[in-house]
Amino acid sequence: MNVPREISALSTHLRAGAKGFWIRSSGGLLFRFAVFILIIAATLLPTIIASLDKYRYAFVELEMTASQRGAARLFIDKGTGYLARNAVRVRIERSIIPETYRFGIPAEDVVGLRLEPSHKPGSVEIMGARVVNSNGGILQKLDLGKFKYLEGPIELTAHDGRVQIEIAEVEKPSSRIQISDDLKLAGLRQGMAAAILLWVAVVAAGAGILAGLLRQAFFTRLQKIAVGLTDWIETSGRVRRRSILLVISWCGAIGLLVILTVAVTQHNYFENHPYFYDPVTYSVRDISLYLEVKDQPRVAAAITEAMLNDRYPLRTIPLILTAPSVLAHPLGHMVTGGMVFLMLLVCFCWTVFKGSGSLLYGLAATALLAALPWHFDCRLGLGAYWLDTVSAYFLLLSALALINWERGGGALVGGRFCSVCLLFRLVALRFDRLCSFCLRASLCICDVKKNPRGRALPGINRSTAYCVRLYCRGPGYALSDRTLT
Amino acid sequence: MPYLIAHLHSNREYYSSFGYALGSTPIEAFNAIVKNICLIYLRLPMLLVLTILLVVQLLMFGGLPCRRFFAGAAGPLWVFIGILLCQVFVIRTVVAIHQFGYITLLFVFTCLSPVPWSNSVSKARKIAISLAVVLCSIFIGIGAAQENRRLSKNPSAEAKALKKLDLDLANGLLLEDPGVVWTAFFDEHWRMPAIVAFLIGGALPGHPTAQTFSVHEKYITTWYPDKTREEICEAVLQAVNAEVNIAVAPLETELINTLFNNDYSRAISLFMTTTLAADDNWEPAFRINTPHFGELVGYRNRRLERSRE
Repeated sequence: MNVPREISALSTHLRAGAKGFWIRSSGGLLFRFAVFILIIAATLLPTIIASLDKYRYAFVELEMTASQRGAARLFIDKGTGYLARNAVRVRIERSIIPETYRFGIPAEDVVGLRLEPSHKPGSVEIMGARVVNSNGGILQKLDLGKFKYLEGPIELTAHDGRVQIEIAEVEKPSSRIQISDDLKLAGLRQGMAAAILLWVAVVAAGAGILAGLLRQAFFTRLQKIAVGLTDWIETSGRVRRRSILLVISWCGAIGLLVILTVAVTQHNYFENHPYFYDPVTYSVRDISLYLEVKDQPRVAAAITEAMLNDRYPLRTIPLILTAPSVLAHPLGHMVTGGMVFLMLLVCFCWTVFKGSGSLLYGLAATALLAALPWHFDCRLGLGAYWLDTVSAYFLLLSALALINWERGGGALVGGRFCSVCLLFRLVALRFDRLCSFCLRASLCICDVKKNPRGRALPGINRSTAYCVRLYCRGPGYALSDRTLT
Repeated sequence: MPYLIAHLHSNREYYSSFGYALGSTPIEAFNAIVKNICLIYLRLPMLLVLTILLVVQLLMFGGLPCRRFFAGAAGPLWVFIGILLCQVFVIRTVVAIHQFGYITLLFVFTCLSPVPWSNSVSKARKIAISLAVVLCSIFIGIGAAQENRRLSKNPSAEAKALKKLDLDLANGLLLEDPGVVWTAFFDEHWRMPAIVAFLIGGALPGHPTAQTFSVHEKYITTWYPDKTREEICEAVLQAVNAEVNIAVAPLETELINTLFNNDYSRAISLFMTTTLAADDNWEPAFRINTPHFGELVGYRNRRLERSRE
């Protein structure tokens, strides 16, 4: 490859500069301190932002019922009067059960609040009013007895701790009531300043402690353990066996930790949130499947499922064969998803280890893969029953198998074959055709690299490659949109 | 191999029938992707850390690092670039962002791509780098687990209302005989109460074999091709009379106009609401008040009950 001289020179300069900087300063406590501040700050950023948000905004919460759907407006006085541009509009629903509506207000000096209960005629009843922060913590309770009529064709009556508002039937009702004129939210700013200082102190202290520890005895001990471990593996006559044992143990431990955490979180999520349309489709099908197969011989049921379900049989057949009752559990799909996740971790760890030549780096990189926030996401992650999540695991498994195959890792070819089967559970036919094209191109590259003289591929690779080629060429599009009817 | 081909055909039919979220212009798709990537970067500082690791990979490990890096990451890069190009030029999607999951994993691997480490990198430095990565993992993992734990325990008011609706509907269905078949004409909602009813009572309420309602016009026109709205309404009524034990519809017709964004769903819902309320063969079994759909009525099919007796 001919690289332009300027780019080559720049690359050498950058490499030398970076390397020099690292070597010069790697031993310095300040350098480590700065690095740890960056790492801790970047990783804690979501938590910091979430904790500061509660000081940036407040919410006026009104518990009320309405006889008509409409929109309520809250006018905010920031000391400059009640301006239309400072109004917050919220849609209200017709309901006889009290609903809680939230109006966001800034954490600036808000001195007064006025409410237009609805822009449509009808009645509105307010049962409770308060100012809360984003976590729902009450900042100030608003006294319903102090609600005052201001203007418009409305009638306001207060009784039994409630405020009843009747809006007369006129063409353009515009009604206002005063709900507070002595709001005191100034404490939010001081709270935010205190929280920022606290976070700065936490990050600095954490970085300082880590830098200090890693410089002194802790680092020395840790280094001894790690060096001993790598020496134990590398100098032994049974390097491969011990490496495999360590890789599987490590991946199993962190994988199970992630799966357990996700399961607990997802259980809480299902307790408090409604089920979502698409994932629940698969869950209901699994329950129906369980009710069908629970009294049948397992092998026969698995064969029937293999013939009927050509979309995600690898998620159901193992459960039919081993424990059909798991199909009926809302988190039962995590058994097969979790297995694929563990396979991915092991394959990933082995690939990075063999590629970099450092077992420790392989284990560390696997920990980073397992810690991705995506796995923990209640709506898209491992716990939610999306086929796409596990397909993504298979996609990466497929790529890793390609790389390992190139290096001669024949044991992983089977994994590649399975992943090719599931690779196509993507978004649309044209998409999977392009993906299969990319895969085919990768296969060809590997093929040429591995077999420069055009030797035949091993059997299973050959059949997979043939299958992909057949699909890329297109076996025909006879089926129309109406086939489903 | 026949199995694999059948599998591919099945997926192709599934998505080409419904055409979900496809067919925007390449510019719209490109804008959506750029926006989503920016949002992902803002929401997940982890990616920032990974990008730093990528740069470290490229600069730190001497001896033709770029060449080695791209040799190691060639496979993932192929698919990674393929997915991006395909989203912009072929699928042209703007809403199906869960595909970014595919990209994220490949991106992680590309960043951590196993470049052979130079011999000049000492053992102590290898250990230090590995420890830094482990520390990153611990912070990222704990942060993500905590954030989702908070989310899982603090539902919004809308989520609470929908959860309550599922529970109320499930309780209403559990009052009927086991094996009850039901359908809803206010939302695509039958599966959620069904699964709740199964978890509470152990019986899974069924759905009619004929397709009765959807909020997507494309689905309805696929189920009932070459039929006018009136003909579809009649076909749905026939199917419901023949198969359904409980049909849930809104009480008030004026609310229906605001619930759906297409004429087909509106027409079926309106027709079934007025027909079920006026038909003597359907009697109210339960009523549920909801903030979103107004008052819902579950009608029991007396004709089916009589035919069983």
